[in-house]
Amino acid sequence: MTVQKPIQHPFNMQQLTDQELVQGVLNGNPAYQRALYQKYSVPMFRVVLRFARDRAEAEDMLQEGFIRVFRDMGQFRGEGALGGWIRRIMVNTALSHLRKQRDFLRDTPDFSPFENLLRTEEDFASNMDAETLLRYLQRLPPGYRTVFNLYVIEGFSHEEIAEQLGISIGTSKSQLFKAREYLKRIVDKSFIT
Amino acid sequence: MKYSKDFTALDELFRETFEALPDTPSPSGWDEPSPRIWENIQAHLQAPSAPPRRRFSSTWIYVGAAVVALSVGLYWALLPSTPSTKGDILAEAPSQATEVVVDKRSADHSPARAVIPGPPAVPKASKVVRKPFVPSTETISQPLQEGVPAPNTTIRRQVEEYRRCATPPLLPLPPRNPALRSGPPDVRPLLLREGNLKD
Repeated sequence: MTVQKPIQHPFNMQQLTDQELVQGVLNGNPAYQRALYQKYSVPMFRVVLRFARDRAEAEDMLQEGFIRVFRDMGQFRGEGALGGWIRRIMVNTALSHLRKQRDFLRDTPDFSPFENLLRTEEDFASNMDAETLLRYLQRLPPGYRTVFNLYVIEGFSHEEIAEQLGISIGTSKSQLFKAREYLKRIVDKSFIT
Repeated sequence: MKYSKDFTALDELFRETFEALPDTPSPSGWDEPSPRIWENIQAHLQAPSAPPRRRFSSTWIYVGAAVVALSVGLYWALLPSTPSTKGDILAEAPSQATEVVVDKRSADHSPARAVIPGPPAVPKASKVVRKPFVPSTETISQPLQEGVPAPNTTIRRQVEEYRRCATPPLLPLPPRNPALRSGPPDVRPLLLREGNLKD
């Protein structure tokens, strides 16, 4: 009778370094895979939430992104931070997810004024916390939201955005300007309120 | 707090708000993914990966065909040229004069038909004595003289080929039957009778 060897858990999974996590994942150890997921799932979920229109879409992006992370872990050279490498994969996954949508970059000339969507006083938060700002972002058209995220938060240049999304630099600038206009209007209104 | 109207402040508001979040999820749980995400990832990781498809791409097929063609070409190109044994065999075979027998009877009515009896079966060269190659001036092609047509070696080669492959010579015809009339029929009496022939 053979006794199945139990999965060896490290002393404390929370204290593992990134290098140890990478090595454990490369060895195919499920405990290390789960530890890596637990360490980075929350910050990466915040990243993809900003690109998605809702929570369900963000969860799809997160799942696809982590599958890519585990699949391509061998390509991580350890030259930079593991969190930065995973974040780039998440952003790329979100962009490829958005590209599958038809006309996600289509301009919306009849886009109704942003503040009209927020009718109740509860919609206007007294304090601008991340959850509130995220709700504002998610109400933007996908193109505006994507360009704003890439330029303002991820630090992409217009040239890089144009290359990533397959659009012109002028389109990138135009969509960024419109996104800022809408966001500024609603943020100003919330402060006044 | 007075919010600035320029976009820089707006950008900073969003950037700092999202970047300054703690590692732990918020109490409201808006930034915590549902547990089923990890279950799906785990199921995907544990699923046996599909075996790689074994397919021979067209590129490899072309490469293989090119290698085979190149090998055959190189084999024929680098094959040491063996001297033809044809000349040796002919040299050893007894040379016999070519007889051209013209059928006189048919020569009167139709163009002459040459019957070239070949020599008896060429004896097989049991052992071909190969002469070492000695370059001589005879093998060097000489420039043609003006006005002299180039020798037609094609016909000569065909004749030689035919001579070697021809069947044994024809047997002589049986002696003529003396009872049979020799020569063409005598039509002179008929012509004289009809007045078509003048004496």
